[in-house]
Amino acid sequence: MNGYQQENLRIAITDAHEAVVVAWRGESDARNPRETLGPYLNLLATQLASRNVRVTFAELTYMNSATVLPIMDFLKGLSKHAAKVKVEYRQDLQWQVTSFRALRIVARGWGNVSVVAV
Amino acid sequence: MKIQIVNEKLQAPTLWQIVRDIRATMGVRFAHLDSHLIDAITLTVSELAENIVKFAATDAEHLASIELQTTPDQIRVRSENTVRSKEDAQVVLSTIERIHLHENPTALFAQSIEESMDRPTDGSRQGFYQIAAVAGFRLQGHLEGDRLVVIAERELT
Repeated sequence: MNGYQQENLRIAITDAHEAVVVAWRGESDARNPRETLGPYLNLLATQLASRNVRVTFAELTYMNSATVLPIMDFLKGLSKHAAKVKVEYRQDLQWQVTSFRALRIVARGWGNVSVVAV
Repeated sequence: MKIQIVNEKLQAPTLWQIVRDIRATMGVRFAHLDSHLIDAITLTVSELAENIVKFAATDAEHLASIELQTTPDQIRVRSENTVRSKEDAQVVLSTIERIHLHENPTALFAQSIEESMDRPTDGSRQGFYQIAAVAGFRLQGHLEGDRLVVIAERELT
């Protein structure tokens, strides 16, 4: 499993014992991330089959609206392939709190996905 | 737009780089505000700028603008651009009307995400839902001839 870097966005993968950590860092502001980032995330979701996955946005400083769909496509893919998925966002960043409040509503039917503030 | 001379070549920034530059200036311009307000303003201005780049007619004869007006209590962001088509403008205006009529911006943002996930391409103008739900701005929009005007306002609290 490889990480991802394009422009100001980095996604780092750490394969720890209990879970694979997918850490988003920097700014996600590409014009068409569903085309550029989407294929990477689709592949990653299948590579994480049967694993426990922690997806953290704690070090993501900005994301444009176009990033939301690739993230949700990724989490939906993980909900089908991975064992358990824990999504973490920063409770001290208002934009993350309000963004992930909406994303939690979308993910409410995905039984193995939890969205938590850290 | 700044044109730089690098190694004897004239280099103009891409339109997307201009959006990034605009976003970068917000933290400086509004450094006196709380960080959550800076984030909200940055998101709103950036999303409106992205919409201009993606959907407006932006040749030399059709200048677009984003204007910021602040009072001690409120901020108003006004974007104006020439539309590429009436259909594009109508999508924007109906999206803003939908947001205006809905009492819960977060629930509507979630609903718009669900609606867009099954589409191969995203023409949903997610940015407007994000401006309302995440940045807490109220939106209005109207056409002045072939010029689309979008106004976003919120209190500075």
